[in-house]
Amino acid sequence: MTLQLDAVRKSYGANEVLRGFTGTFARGRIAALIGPNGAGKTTLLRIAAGLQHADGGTVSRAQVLYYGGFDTMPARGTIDAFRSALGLQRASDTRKLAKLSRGELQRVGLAAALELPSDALLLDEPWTALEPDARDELNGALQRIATDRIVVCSTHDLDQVARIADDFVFLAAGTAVWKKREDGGITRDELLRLYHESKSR
Amino acid sequence: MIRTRPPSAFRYLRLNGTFTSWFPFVFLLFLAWVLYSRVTADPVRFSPYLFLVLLPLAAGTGLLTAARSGRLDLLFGIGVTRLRLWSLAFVLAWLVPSLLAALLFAVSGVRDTAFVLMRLPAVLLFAGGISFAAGLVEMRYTIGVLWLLTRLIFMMTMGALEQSVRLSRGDLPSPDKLMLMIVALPEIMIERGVPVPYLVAAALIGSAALIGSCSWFARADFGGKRS
Repeated sequence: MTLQLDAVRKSYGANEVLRGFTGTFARGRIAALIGPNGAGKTTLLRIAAGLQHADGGTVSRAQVLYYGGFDTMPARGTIDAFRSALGLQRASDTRKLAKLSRGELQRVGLAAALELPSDALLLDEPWTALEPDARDELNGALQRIATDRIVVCSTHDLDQVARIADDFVFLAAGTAVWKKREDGGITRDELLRLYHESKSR
Repeated sequence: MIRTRPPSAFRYLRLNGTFTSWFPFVFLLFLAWVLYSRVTADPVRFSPYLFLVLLPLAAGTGLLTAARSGRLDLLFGIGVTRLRLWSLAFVLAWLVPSLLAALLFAVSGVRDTAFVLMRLPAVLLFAGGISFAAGLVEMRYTIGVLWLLTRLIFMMTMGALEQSVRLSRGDLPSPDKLMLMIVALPEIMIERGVPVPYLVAAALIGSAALIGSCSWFARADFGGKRS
């Protein structure tokens, strides 16, 4: 089971954010999309999920679930109502979503995204707003889930992806450079060097 | 053991505030008013017409804005299609309010009920269809409020009031004036004096707006943070 993108292009006016992106995301591996703001990370994930239309290229996908972060969560109702609407078991938590902090909201949203069935799980900056313990919890959950699902995360958090990701995709100026954990030398500093290198392309 | 329920797009939309939950209560109020009028044999039966005036407000959903901003991402992730979401919004924001309006007219005892019910779909399609299509985006109540203001301005114009009275007596104004009146006060199409071609044209415009809104929603880019 794979999520394949072939020659995917996308522009916003004169700004071409994706210039023929080609890549395959496979089950059993966690992929990290890394790049500066506006590099096209979110756009790539949303095209892969079928939420946005590409200007060109093809995407072959199975059932893809995309979670865009705490700011895409509903503003009304309780945690239980939110989970119930998605068909998930209630958490016996009647706190109102509108009263939660950003970190709490992120946890509620991530928990739902991880529990919902899918073939591919695409997460946009999932470590944002999480406290250190919650980040570790998320890393463990992602590693468990990745055994039988495709997992792709966009992020600026090089510490986290240096720990758990298998594939690293550096996006900048519309093009992508891939690196695999098997290539060796995966450290935060090395990822930072590659990030700067791709940014200066 | 905690029981789980199947996922519900309806409940998820409600959490996102993308349908008008107050409308059924408004209907109940109007129904009570209509029934009271019947019991007391009140000859003034304008309450169903007033209900029609509120329809454009109920037809706004903001569904497209919610989808564009990423608030419906998880729904799409569990397999809910764009067409299903649009259909659900259509049923909740146009079909159900339209049926409630027809029911209100049916039980209100207005003169020539059958005649009114035959002409009613043109009003519902025109006013409801345009409001539903325009109300897919944020400021969902804008079109409804604008329509209310237009009515107010229209009714405050002496010439317009006079024209309405003459129309109810079968005295037809010039075609351009009649079109203007229909745009400002769609419910006048229920009057016997309005020729059928005007009703057909209004129904076609409303239907085109509804079909266009479906196509618009199906093709839209849901860009998330970029929207």
